[in-house]
Amino acid sequence: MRGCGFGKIEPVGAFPPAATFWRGNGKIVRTRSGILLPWVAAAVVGAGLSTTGVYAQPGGQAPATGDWRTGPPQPAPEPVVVIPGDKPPPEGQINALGAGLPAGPRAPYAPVGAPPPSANKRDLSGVWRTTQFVLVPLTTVTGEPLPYTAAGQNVLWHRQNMSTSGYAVISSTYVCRPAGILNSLNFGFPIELAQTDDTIAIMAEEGRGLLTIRMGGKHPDNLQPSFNGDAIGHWEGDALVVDIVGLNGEVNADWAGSPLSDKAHIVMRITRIDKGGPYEDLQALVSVDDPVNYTKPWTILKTYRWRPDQHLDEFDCEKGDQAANTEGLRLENPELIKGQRK
Amino acid sequence: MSGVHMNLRTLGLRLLGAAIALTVAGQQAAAQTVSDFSGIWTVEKPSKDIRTRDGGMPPLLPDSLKLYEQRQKQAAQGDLSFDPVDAKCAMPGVPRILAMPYPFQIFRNALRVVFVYEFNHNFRSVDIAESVPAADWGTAYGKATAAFAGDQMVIKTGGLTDETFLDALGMPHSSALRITETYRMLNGGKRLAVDLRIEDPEVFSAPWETSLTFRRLPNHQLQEDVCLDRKADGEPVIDWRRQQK
Repeated sequence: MRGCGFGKIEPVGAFPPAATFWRGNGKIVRTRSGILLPWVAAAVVGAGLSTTGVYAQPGGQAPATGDWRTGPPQPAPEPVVVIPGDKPPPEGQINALGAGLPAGPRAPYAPVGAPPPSANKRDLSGVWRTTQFVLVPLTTVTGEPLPYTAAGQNVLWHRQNMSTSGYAVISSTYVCRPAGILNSLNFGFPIELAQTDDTIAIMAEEGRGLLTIRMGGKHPDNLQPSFNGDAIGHWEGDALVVDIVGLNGEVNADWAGSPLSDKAHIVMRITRIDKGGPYEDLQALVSVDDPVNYTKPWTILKTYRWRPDQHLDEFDCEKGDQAANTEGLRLENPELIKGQRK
Repeated sequence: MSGVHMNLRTLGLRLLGAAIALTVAGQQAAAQTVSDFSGIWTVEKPSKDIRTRDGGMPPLLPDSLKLYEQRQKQAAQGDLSFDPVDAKCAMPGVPRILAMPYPFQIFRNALRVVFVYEFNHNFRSVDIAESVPAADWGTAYGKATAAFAGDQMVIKTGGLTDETFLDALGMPHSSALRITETYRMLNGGKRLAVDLRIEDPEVFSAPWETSLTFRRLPNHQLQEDVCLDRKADGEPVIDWRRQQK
């Protein structure tokens, strides 16, 4: 599998001093908003630890071999593809930008007889579902790892080491805050688009994500930073081009924890595309320029199946006790991730 | 096939596609003249308590009335701990969110009517269909279908959780609740009205009705609202003093 390995990347910079870190070997469970090990949840949440700025140290676990802070990064886990991968892209076409994604059985299309998307190519409304949901760091359209700066790399390694060693990585969705559009587009749950001439909304089941895109105009001069940023859109042919700035620096680019700073500039090109299936697909070509965390702009490609037979399940994150139990809980090293969390 | 032929063929297909698109767009525009509720709306008179159309107390059964009166007393003393919305920023659900002082946007396409609420990025997607689908479990916004008749949009909702309230003072309902919302435009599209029919034989002795009106916000853009952050900053979960311009 190309582009998903993480072995080529060498450590850059030193992890700052921190408390002892312990390795766990519990089974990783996927929750609606993050990855958490049962014993970590029990030990950390159940003990009522208020760990802002402090690492949790559940007792009774064997210490890790070596020092996670100065040793090499843990090997990245194999990609977990909840929905089997897209078909390999044709050579020489724009779809070749999808190289690096694993070939595999095609993600399911809507049932036979489902109503097709609108005849109007600029009508993107409806429910769509990603063909790829990866838990590992994103790879670019050409199958390369994201071009992390030293600071960005360290934040990701920190989170990966924590995650693979059994510690919760508290993402914005874990505390019932918006995931940010990049994460929303990656999750394996459906997204829904709704539009008028002057507004397009992208809703995501996971994290109850919501990005509202204002068509035309420009970004205001005095932007208030937000999880989803300020999004303005326009049409280039049948491609919806969305320009996003004004992030608050608290969302990640992917599930694994690749960071996005408040300097990030995101440009999305969203089109409907005929890839030979029974229904057209939706494609999002997403470019990110974040000089804090990445040495150069990078681009990813996401493909979605038309699924008018599905609804976004209601996700009332706040109703559960998740938000209350994790409020103020920051297992990450605050010095390392400074700017990424309040 | 030469490049010229390919280009002509491509051009022909594109012209055909454009013609079809224009026809479809024309049909959609014609359809929207009578039943397009798209736009951003805000309730004209936000209200904490839901009452019947004539201002009376809904016909609560004795046990439910007792519970509601108890919650009203708590609320009067500033104790909203019984309310998952105030305590946790949980979803208000329908119909409660309609009476809250936060705008919402209605979208419509061929298959769905979508409500996007500014309050804590809630949203609700409703099938344009005949019958309300069965729900595997109850939710704040339930399972709903929309139908259009003349100048009205009728939304029927079931599949609701019994963990939400009908209003901000804790009026209870059960999971047997069925809501019928009948929307119609007023004042040439500047205002919107909804008639609500509430049926819940486990909580009310009879079905009852109420209504709300909304005004269009032509220049508003829905803002990102993160209730938990507002709450953490000491702001009210529901700011009843806020006004939309």
